[in-house]
Amino acid sequence: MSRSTRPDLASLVAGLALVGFGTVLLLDQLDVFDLRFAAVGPMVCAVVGAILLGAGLGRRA
Amino acid sequence: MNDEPQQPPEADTPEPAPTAAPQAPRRITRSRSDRVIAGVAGGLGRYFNVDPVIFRIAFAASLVIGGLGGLLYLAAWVFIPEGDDAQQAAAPPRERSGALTVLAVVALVLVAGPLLLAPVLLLLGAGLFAGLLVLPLAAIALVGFLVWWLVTGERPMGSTRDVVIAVALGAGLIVLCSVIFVAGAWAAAVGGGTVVACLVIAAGLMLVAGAFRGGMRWLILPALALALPVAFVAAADVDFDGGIGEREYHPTSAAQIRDRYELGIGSLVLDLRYVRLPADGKNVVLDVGIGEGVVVVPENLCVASQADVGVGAVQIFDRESGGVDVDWEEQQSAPRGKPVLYVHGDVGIGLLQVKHAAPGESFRDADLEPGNATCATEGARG
Repeated sequence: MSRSTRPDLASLVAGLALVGFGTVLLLDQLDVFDLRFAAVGPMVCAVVGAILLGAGLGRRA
Repeated sequence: MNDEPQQPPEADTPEPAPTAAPQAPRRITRSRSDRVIAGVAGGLGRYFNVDPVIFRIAFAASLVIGGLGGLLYLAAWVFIPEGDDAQQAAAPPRERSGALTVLAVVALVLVAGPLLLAPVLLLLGAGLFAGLLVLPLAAIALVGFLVWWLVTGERPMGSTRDVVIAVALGAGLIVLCSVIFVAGAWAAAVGGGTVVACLVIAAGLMLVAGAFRGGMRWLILPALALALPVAFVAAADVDFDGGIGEREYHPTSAAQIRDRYELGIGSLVLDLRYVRLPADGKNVVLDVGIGEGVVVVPENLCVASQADVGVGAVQIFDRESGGVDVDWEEQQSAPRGKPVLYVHGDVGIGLLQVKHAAPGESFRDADLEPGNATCATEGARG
């Protein structure tokens, strides 16, 4: 009996997106750069979109 | 002669009494076929042998006048099981009860009567109830439904109880996320943004690891609920240092003016109308997390300003700029011997305002009037 090792795409994409998002937030907290709404808005949309995309593709697979 | 087949006597069970077979008690069940939402009115109509439309009208009318019927309907949806329509159809129909129909009509009139007699009060009550209970409950149920659907990838299905449990779990997840959202925002605003950002990274790593062990989709929403407020607080540059409340400062000499005034949430007023500034001017910094920072100056004072507002507006005399990511800078110079007040504002969410007023005059409701007449504008941008 073969056991599937395919990862859950939604969790994987969401995890990677959140790691990236958290890193950006951490760099802002460390004053590496100054986060503004002009950047946060698209970034949040990109993260949420990536998660939804991952969930959708995972469901189709 | 007995034509009935003979049953072999059983040793342990007594002989059944030769009486009529006991009739199973009638149960209220929800109708599978005669339904608009969950078949409650259809089931009640069948049980009482009354036209279900009467129950439907009563439920709908009660929603307008207080909503008790709506709650009863929800309770009936949860606690009354679905019936077997085929079995119910096979049961001999009872004669329609005229008394029950009259009773139902009277109840309907009693319910709908106040609606006709006092429409204004009822509308107010309905609006109040709808605003306070029904709409939030309906919204929570809908959100719970959608959350469950999104998290599991499957629409809540099965028995009513299963659906209710799924919706409740979805709503519970939203409540949990709301708590996390507020806690994350508060932690970031009081200086714990680094810790929260690390928690977001840790949650992301857990999700990546969990993806290879069957998935951890339930963690996605809480992790997002933690990350989003930090991003919002960071973008707005909200800082809760300085506490919460209303602060008014009325220095009477330049020496009493601090370099920096801070307030977390609330209103901060710096009244400089009674101060004679030194000829080389003075710098003041207003740092407000959420709220307003107001500087009141005498009419003949030249004011230069620079401000960052995350979400809100800057109003310097009769000039203003608003929106998100508001950057404001207005350089000014004054004639020789005249001081310049340099105002640096940092407002997360809210308003930075500089206005002038005569000593003793109320500045609270004063209109924004032109200022800086005593200085020459070198450049302004907002």
